[in-house]
Amino acid sequence: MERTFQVDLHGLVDLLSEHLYSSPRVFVRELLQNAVDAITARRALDPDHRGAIAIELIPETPQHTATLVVTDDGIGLSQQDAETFLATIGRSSKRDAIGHLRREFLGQFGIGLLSCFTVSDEIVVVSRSAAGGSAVEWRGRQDGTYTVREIEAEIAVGTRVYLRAREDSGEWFLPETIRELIAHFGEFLPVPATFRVEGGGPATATAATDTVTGAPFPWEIEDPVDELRQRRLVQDAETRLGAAVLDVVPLQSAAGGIRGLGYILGGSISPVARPAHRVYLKRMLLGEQVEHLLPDWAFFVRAMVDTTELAPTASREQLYEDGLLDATREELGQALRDALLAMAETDPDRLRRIVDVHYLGLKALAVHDDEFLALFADWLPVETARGRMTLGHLRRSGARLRYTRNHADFQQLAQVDAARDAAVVDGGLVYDAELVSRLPAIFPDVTAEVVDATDFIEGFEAPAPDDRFAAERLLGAATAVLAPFDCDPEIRTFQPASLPSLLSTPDAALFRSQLSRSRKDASPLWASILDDLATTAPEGRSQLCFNLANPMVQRVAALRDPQALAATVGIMYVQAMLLGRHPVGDRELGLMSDAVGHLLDWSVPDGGTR
Amino acid sequence: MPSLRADVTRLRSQARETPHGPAQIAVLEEATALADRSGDEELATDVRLQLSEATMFGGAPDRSIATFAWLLAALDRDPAGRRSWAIIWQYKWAISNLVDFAEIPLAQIRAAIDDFEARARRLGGGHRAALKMRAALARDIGDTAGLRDGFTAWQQSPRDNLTDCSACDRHAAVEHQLALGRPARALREAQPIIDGKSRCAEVPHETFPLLLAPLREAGEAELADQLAKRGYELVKGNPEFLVSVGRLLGDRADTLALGRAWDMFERHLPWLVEQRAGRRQLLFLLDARRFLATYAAIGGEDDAPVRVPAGFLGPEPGRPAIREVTVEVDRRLDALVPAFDRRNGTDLYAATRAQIPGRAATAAAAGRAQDPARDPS
Repeated sequence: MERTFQVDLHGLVDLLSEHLYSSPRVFVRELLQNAVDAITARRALDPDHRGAIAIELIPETPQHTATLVVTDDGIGLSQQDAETFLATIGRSSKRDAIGHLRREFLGQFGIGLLSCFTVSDEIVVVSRSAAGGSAVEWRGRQDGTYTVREIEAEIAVGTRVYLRAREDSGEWFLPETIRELIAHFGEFLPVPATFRVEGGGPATATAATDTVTGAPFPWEIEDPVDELRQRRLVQDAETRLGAAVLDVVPLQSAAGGIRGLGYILGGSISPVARPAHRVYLKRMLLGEQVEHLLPDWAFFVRAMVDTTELAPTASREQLYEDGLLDATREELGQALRDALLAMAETDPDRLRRIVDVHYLGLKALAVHDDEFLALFADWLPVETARGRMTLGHLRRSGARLRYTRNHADFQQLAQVDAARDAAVVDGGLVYDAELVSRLPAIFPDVTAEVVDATDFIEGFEAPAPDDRFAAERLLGAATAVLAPFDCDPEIRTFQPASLPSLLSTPDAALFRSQLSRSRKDASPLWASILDDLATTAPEGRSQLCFNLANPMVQRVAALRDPQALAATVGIMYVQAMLLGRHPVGDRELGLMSDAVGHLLDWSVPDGGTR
Repeated sequence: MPSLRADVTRLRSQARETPHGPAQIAVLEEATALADRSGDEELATDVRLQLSEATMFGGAPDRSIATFAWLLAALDRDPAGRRSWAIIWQYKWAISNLVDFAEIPLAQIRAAIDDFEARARRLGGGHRAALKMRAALARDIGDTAGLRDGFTAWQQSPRDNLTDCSACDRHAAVEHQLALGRPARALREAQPIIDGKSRCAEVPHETFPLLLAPLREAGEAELADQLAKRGYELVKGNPEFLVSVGRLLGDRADTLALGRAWDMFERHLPWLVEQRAGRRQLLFLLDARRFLATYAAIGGEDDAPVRVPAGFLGPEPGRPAIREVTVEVDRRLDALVPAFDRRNGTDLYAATRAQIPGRAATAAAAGRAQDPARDPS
C-alpha cells in the first residue's frame, strides 16, 4: 500500500537538517542510537542477549552512489510498530515535540532516523520483531511518501537500515569519514559495532573489518599506581582537547547520574569564557560543545562526563536546562571544590600550580562561598604596593588590610606605600575588593578598610616650621588657581620625594566631571535630564596635595613671581590628572595652555623672536 | 597618538574579559578618558558604547545615563554615522534607567521616549519598543490604567529591528501581569522561562525572583524554592541585580528562613550603599524592611549586631544593633517613598510600604516558634 505521510515530511526534514542539528554528520549517531536502543530493549526481555551492530559501506560505483547498511540484532519492528511510529510523527511537527517523541520511542524506532534524510533521499528499513510475526519492510522517501509491507524473507530478529547517498552527499559516505564518525560518537558504546567496506577495496588505513566501539572511558581504566593514573589521564586529556592540561580531577553527580573527569586547563582563561564540555549520554557522544554543565566559577575547567539521567534537547547536542541540570551543576561544582580542598591537604604543590594559573576562578568561587574562602584565602594572590602577595601572607603580617576602591587610586597610593614598605591592595582588580572586604567576617582578627588618597593625605606630615612661609604662599596661589576646578590644595611632606603631588578624586567628583562633559553638546532635553541628576549627585571636591619633600615643588614654592607660581600650579594639576588617567576636559587643557603661555612670556619676555 | 590608542585597545579587551560590575566599569572609564585625549571621536564613541553597556548591566544607572547623553550628542553631530543604530538601540537602555531617579520628572521621561521614537523611525523601527517603554513607565509609577492600555497596545504592535528579544519581552509581560494583580496569568506567561525554553543574557535572572510570591500563593512551594535557589545563583555576583536580591531576601523572610535572610542582607548591603538610583534603593529597602519586621515579629533580639559597610551608618563599617539598622532603613524609606510617590503622582510606594510587615511576619508573630538566628530548614 502506498500512502502519504500525514505530515509535510519535507518540512520536517528541513527543520531537522537546517535548524535542529548543527551538522548532517549526526545521521551516523542517530543510526547508532537506534541500533543501541533496539539492543537495549531486547536485553530487557532477554538479559543474556549480548547484541552487536554491523555497519557496512558499499562504495559508490559509476552506476550507483554509495550505500550504508546498518544491521542490529535488537528488538526489531513489527508492522504495527512502524505504523504507530509514523502516526505519532503525524501528530505534530513542532520542534519541541521531537524531544518528546524521542523519549517515547526510545528502544524502538527513533525519530532520529529522519535525520538521515539530510544525506539521503530514501531510507529502507527491513526488520523482524522479537515479538514474532513476519518481517516488515519500510521504505520512506524524502518527497513525503512511504510504503510498509510484510515480506516473506526469513531474516533474523533485528533491524537493517539501508541508506543510499544522495548525489550531493557523497562526502559523507567515504570510508574514512564513516569510520571516523562511528568512532567519534560511539567510541565508548557498550555494544560492539564493526565496520567494513564491501568488496575489500582500499577501505581504511587499518583493517578491512574492525570493531570501532566498546572502549572504556578513561576513568574506567585501572592503573597500578595513582601517579601513573594521573599521568595517563593528563595525557589522554591533552590528546582529546588538543590543549595543555594542568590537572585532572574526578567528577561525579548522583542527581545527573554522572561520572567523569574535570580537565583543569593549562592556560589562563577569562572569567567570562563559556567552556564547552564533552558530554556522553549513556555512553553515546551527545556533544563536545555542551555549555552550562559546571557552575560559572569553574570557567577554567572542561568536563568529560557520561550521564545516565540528564535530558538532551531535541537536537541531542545540548542538555535541557531544567531543575535536574541545576542540581547536577551544583553537585559537580561540589565535587570540584572537594577535589581542590583535598589537594590542599594532601598535595599542596599540585594545588599551588593550579592557583598560580587559575586564581581568578578560585576567587570567583570564594567571593560567594565563605567556607571556601576560609580555607583558600591564604592561597589567593592579590596585587599590592609591594608586588603580588597572597592574602595569607598579608594576614600573617598582622597589619590591618587596606585596599583601594579602584585601580586608579591604587596606582597613586602604591607609590607612597612602596616607599614606606606598606602593602595597600589593588581593589580595582576583579573580585579583590569584595574578597578583602569579606575577610573580617571570616577571620575575627583581620580588619580591612577601603583607603583613598584623602585618607593618605590626612596621615601625611605637615611641612616643617622653616618651610611654613613658602608653603603658605604656594597654598594661597593654588587655592585661587584650583577653585574653579572644585579642587582644594594641601601641602604636606611625604615619601617618596620623587612624587610631586597626590591627587584625590572621589567618585562623586569624577561623576560630576562626567556629567559636565556630557552636558556640553547635549540636546536641550538631555541637558535638562543631566541637570536633574546633578541636583542630587553627591558633592565631591578633589584634593591636590603637594609634596614639599619633592625638589621641584620646593622650587615652585620658592617662586616670587605670582604669575609664574600660578602657571606652575596649573601645570602640576593637569599633570597629576594625566598621570592618574583622569578625564581631562577642555577646561583643564585651557588651564594648561594658558599656563604654558605665561611661562613662555616670563622666560622669553620678547616672545623669543630676537 | 598611537600609544594612547594602543592603551585604549588594551583596556577595551581587558574589559571584555571582565564580568559586569565595578571593575569592568572602572577599566572602561579609564579607556574613555584616554580615548577623549586621543582626539579620535570614532574611538571615543566606540569606547562609550562599551561603557554604556558596562554601566547598564553593571549596576551604575547614573553613569549609564551620563554616558549615553554624550553618545546622543555624537549622533546629533553625525546622524548617519556608522554607530547610529547602536546608539539608538542603547537609547532604550538609557530610558529604562530614568524612572529610577526621583529627580527626573515624568514629563522628561515621556519626552525622551518620544524623542527615541522619532529618531528610531528614521531607522525603520522603534514603535513597538516605544510602546513597551510607555507601558513599563506606567507600571513603575503605579499608573494601573495606563499600564493596562499600554500593555495591550504594546502586545498588539508588530516586531521590528529595534524590538527587544522575545525572552525580554516575555519577562516584561510577566512583570506587567503581576503589577496588574493577575498572578495566574503571570505564571502562565512565565512558564517557558521557568522551563528554560525562553532565555537570553538577562532572562531568567530577574524573572525568577518575581515569581516566588505568586508561586507560594499558588501552593507551588517546591518550585518556588528551586527558582529561588537558581535565581540567586544568577544574580548574586552583579550589583545590577540589587532589586532582585531584595526580592529573594523578601522571600527568605516570608518563608522564615531568617538566618539565610540575615546573611543575604549583610552580604548585599554594600550594593545598596553604592547604588545611586533611588528607586532601586527603595525597592531593596522595602524588602529589607520586610525581613526586619519579620525578625522583630518572631521576637528576635533587637540588639543582635549586624555587619554594615562604610557609608550605611556613618563613614566607617561597623556592627550596630539590628534595631539601629531598622531605624536607618526607616529613615531612608521616609525620604525615598514620598520622593517617588510625589514625582509619580501616585501612592504606589506608600501603599507597598503600608503592607509591611506582611502576612508571614504576622503569622510568625502568632506562632513565635522560630529561633531567629537559625535557619528553619
